[in-house]
Amino acid sequence: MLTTLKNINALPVRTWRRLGVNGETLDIEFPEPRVFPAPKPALPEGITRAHESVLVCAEFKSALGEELSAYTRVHANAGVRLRALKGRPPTEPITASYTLTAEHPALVDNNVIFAEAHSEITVVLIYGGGAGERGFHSGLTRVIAENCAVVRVVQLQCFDAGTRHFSDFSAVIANGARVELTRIELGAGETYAGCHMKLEGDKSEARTDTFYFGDGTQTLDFNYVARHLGRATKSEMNAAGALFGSCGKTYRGTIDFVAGAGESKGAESENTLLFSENSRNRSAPVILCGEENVEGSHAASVGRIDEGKLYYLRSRGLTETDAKRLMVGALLESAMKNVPESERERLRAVLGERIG
Amino acid sequence: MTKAPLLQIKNLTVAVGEKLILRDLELTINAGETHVLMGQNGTGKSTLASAIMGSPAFDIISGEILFEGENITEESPDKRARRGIFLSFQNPEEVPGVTLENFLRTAKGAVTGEKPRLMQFKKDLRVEMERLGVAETYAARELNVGFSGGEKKKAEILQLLTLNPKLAILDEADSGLDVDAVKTVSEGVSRFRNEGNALLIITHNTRLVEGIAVDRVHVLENKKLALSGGAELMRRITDSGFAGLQTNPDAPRGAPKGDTQ
Ligand SMILES: Nc1ncnc2c1ncn2[C@@H]1O[C@H](COP(=O)(O)OP(=O)(O)OP(=O)(O)O)[C@@H](O)[C@H]1O
Ligand SMILES: [Mg+2]
Repeated sequence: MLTTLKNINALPVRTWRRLGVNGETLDIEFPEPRVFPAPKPALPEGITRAHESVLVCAEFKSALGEELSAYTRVHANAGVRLRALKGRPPTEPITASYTLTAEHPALVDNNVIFAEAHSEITVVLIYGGGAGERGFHSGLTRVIAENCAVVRVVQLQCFDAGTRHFSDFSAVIANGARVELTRIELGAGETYAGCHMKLEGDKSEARTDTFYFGDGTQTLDFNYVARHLGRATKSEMNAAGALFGSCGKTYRGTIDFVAGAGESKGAESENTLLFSENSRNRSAPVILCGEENVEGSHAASVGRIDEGKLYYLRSRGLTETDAKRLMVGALLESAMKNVPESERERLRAVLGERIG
Repeated sequence: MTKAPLLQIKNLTVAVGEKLILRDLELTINAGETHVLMGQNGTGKSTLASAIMGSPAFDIISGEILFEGENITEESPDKRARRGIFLSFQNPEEVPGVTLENFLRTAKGAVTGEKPRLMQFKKDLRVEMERLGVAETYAARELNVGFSGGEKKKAEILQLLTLNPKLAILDEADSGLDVDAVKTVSEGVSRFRNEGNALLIITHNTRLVEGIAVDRVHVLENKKLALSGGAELMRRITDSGFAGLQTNPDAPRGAPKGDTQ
């Protein structure tokens, strides 16, 4: 059934329509997915399976859009449900890997991560493969980090070009807890990714690192929100990426200081390299201050890589491809802090091939 | 068998768009030689350097550029760099995101065909940076981004010393440098220079080449090397300017060293 969804990746507070960043309206043919074949990850000591009901105690917001979020919850055909037990030492990352195929072209994964107080957990979600125009992914990851817990989620996306890819992330973060999201978006034809960090507890922290690569006629659309509710909370949102061809990218980053969030700090940065005159690069950094005693900052840098810069690098012996790989590779490195060593080389290779 | 010159430029005519900048220019540089190129602003010195390096911004209308006897006129800049040609840019580009160290190591790997080992490379780089008076922290800074004019020039010389080419073209490597920095850069250039390589130094004054033995001096005027001579020509130009020079557009190429008349 074809559904028209409004307010995909909508800005929390609307701005001038002519900027074209308020949100997207999309026609989506939702698949009725069958169970997706994916091995259940082995769980180390200190981690058990969680029931979705653990989430009832928290109120999640969706940055991507409530309708999509609801679809993903109802039609999920995959996902991990994890509970990190109180006070246990950190374990190896827990990895789940999904590959789209002609037989299984649609992945809808609903992930739940519940970190009890003073626990630490890292989850790596790997997405790849494709099924031409039928390739579809909608993922939702909801996280509760109880007092002083640490949660790291790493999403590595290398879908084939035809794939439509939706990715939603929402976390509720308690006193002294920290949640970090890493997203490496290297593939898909259309990417819509949202992230909502709710810094509910005092001294809670959130961090996001996002890397994107766009070429051809790709669409990349991001909506990140850090909502500061507790006192002395901290958020950091970093995005970096490169645009080739006639792709279009929109990145929205909102730091929302709610009344009562005194002494909180939020910083967002975006670093974009433009290799093409035809690509469309839009950024909407927003800082909302409902509280006086806060510090919010944003830094955006857009580097136009023209023939002159490429010539300079080529005059030092680098081929044009070498030069592009060097520049874009540096951005990828900056986003891989939380990516397990074992995955980094593969991502570098995928990126290198996309540029070659 | 006599060895081919390191660089030989024959009848080179270069244009940018509709505008002719160099016409039938001739120049020969042998290994072991240092040449100085002078000329008024806008006469085409940087254009000549760009043509030798293979800049896509200029069109070679006619003529040939030979390097070690091989025709490189149509070659890409990266191939020329791998042959051993280096240009210190008059206006070095800023490259966001790429650190000076990572760039140098990648470039070294590109010209030698083998990426240098990280620890040894770091060590060597630190030594050279210290000699050039470049603070260690610059290794981790983005290439030329936010560098001052003088810092960019030092970074170019650092690249020269790291890549160790056969032919180094220095396009106003001394402009914008303070007195001490000119000396440091000049010493760096001297360290690079040996019997097997060559220099083409584009400059407006003699300070950079003090302490470097100059073999030939050329003056670019009217789209070609209108006058060539020995080191004393440089002094005459800095003392009394270009106006007093008797230029001879048909001066023979490859005249013996020191011959100015
Ligand atoms: N991309 C370009 N487009 C148009 N004109 C150009 C371009 N590049 C160079 N020129 C012109 O070519 C001529 C020679 O320029 P060039 O930079 O080679 O001079 P130069 O001798 O190096 O001067 P200076 O001593 O000031 O550095 C100038 O008139 C300049 O304006
Ligand atoms: Mg010049």
